[in-house]
Amino acid sequence: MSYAELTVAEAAERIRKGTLSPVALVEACLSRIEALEEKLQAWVTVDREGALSAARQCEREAGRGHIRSPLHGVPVGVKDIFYVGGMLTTAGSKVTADFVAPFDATSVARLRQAGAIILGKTQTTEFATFDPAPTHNPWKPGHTPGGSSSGSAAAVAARMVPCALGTQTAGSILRPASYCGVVGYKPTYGRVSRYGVFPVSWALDHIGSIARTVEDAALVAMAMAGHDPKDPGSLHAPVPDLRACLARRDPPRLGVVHEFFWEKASPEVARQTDGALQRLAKAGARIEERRLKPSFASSHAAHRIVMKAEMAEVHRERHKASAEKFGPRIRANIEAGMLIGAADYFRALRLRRQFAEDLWALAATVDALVTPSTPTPAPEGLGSTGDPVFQTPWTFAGMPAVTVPCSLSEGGLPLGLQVVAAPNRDAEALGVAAWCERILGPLPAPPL
Amino acid sequence: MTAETDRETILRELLAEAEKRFGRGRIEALRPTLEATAAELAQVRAAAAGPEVEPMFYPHVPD
Repeated sequence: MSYAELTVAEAAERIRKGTLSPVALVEACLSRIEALEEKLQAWVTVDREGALSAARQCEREAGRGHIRSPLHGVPVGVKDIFYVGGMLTTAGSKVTADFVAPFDATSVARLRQAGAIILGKTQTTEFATFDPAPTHNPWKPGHTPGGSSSGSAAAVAARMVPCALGTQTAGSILRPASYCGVVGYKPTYGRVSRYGVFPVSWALDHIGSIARTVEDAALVAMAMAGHDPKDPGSLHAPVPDLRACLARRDPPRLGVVHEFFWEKASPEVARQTDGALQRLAKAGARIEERRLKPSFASSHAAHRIVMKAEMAEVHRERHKASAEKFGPRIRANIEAGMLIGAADYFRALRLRRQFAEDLWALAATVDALVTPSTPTPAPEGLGSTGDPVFQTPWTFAGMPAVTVPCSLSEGGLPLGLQVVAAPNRDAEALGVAAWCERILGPLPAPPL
Repeated sequence: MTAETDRETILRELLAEAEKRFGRGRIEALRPTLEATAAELAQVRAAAAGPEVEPMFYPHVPD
């Protein structure tokens, strides 16, 4: 078995015991990238020398018995909207094609402090919005890997790197993770600092992780989490031990929201999700129906109004200087956002409060809510990154959400189960997701 | 429904404003996005928000 097959937890354990060299692990990932990158196009920058140098440092430290954290010596892929000091940070745009980040994003700095190795920058849709990246889905090249964290999800699924960073403003972590058959975790809003990450929308952006197991996704998020005074939306609450709940043995109480989600799901996704729920119920999970409140009806529209209005301000100066350099979809959305008035923006934010409080109360009645992660498997073609409609509500309400692989479609593409908890109950969301992961079992590696 | 919540009326207003700000040449490229935006604005304006509800910028749970 190649070292590139190892999960974060497995690799870290071997490094701690001295049976795996971080240099050998990085070299295995680089070999995998070399073999598959032409086919998948998951990376913008691969920092071969920087990663090997950091790996040698980790190896020396490990040799002295100094293990910085459970990520010591583990390579990480970083979505190309995060600042990595001294590294090109293009945000997938011609507008910032030559931008070299002057410092590390807080999340990246914390990963480095934890001993993680920055392997390089992964492909993103333009400024993490609508114009797609060139990345292919490892399960079926020619199909989208989803977006906006396209390269992160594809690289983790293809065993190019054991874990990667993503961001989610609507559905940009969980959707690509689900399409690529891996785990995606979007923490509670403000749990991980946004400082040093190109914003899409200040009120909506979340930072999270993509990995091959729930435990790995939790390890990466824990290393990044915690208050950051540089991020005004950052939570002050202490970070719970997200790994402690992963050993959960008690079957959870799950709230299933059939309305909307099963109505929008394709017949195959609905059938396969029902099959997964039956397996969970057989293992002891209590499955209870939950109903959405009327505030749900306008939530997608309100989310879009907030997102477009904020995008217009985020990109105002860049648009003024070089509108023609933007891709067609982001440019149209920036310009539409410029036409949204302040009163409509504030109405959308008022609707958000009503909606979020309704959804928080609903989630608090169970251990977690569950839905399919996406309405369909990854669509064919690279012209779109699929539909974020199943993630948008939880993102808008700032709630922790996890997707775990659930099964393969008839066409051989992965499907996911989305697990959502009340805000600040990240440990519960991850614990339930890990329990579901154990019952549903792992997917095989993509047939590359 | 009032003119304020009628998506066709909203779309006409958006198209007129877009032409003024970005030029006639941008209208064809903008139309699909403005149609979607008009529908969203119509929904947001028509949705009931209680008078005591304040905007939520950061979705933080109160302490």
